[in-house]
Amino acid sequence: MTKRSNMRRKAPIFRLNALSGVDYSKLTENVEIKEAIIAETITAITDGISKNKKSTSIFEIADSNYYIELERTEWKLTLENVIQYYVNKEDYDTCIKCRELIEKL
Amino acid sequence: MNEEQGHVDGIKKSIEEVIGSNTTLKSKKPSEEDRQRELFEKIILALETAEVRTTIMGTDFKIDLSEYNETFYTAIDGMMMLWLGKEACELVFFYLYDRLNPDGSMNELLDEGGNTILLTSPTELWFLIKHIQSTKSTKKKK
Repeated sequence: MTKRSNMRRKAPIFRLNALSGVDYSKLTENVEIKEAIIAETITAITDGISKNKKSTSIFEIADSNYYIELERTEWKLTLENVIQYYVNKEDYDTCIKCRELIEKL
Repeated sequence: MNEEQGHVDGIKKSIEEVIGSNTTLKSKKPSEEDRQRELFEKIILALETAEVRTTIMGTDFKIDLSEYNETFYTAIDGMMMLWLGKEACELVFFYLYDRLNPDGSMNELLDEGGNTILLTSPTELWFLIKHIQSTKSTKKKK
């Protein structure tokens, strides 16, 4: 049986039915969207570290031809920002997890 | 900037704002399904163009090419049948020959639930065919 950690991660699809002229900055005000982006970023970086990648895909954008990609050079800064987010939420377990990821970089 | 690019950039910037770092856009490799869909769309658009040309030759120049074209259509229909199967081909033939009325109005399809389906592009036709094929294969598995 294949170990789950060895299975290939498929970037989840980010689907947003935006009306014409929509203000995309409002996206970040939605707590659920923000939470989903941050959680998926951690998953993507974890996958990138375990597979020693130079960059990792966070999302596939639905109805487009693109992935949102995060270069390895950005992972540390991203994780530090993510830690700050979870400190504010007092979710220290996730903070520890992110700190461990930084140490692996 | 086209609408798709604006949408992609809007999402990219929002994600960057959330995670506080720069991201890049990576272009997807077209899948086998994407390649087949593109080929299908090209074929349907070419057949529509051929049909319009035949009609123009008939109405404007009084030259009836329908019998001449029949040989090509027989070959094309046969290849379509081999590729997509009988049911999908019937949808293709509806799309090409029975969908549009001479007055420009459009005929609709009715699904098994009595819902109307309006086909306005080869892409919509492709996705309908794929939907029917996947529903059929799911039923077979059960």
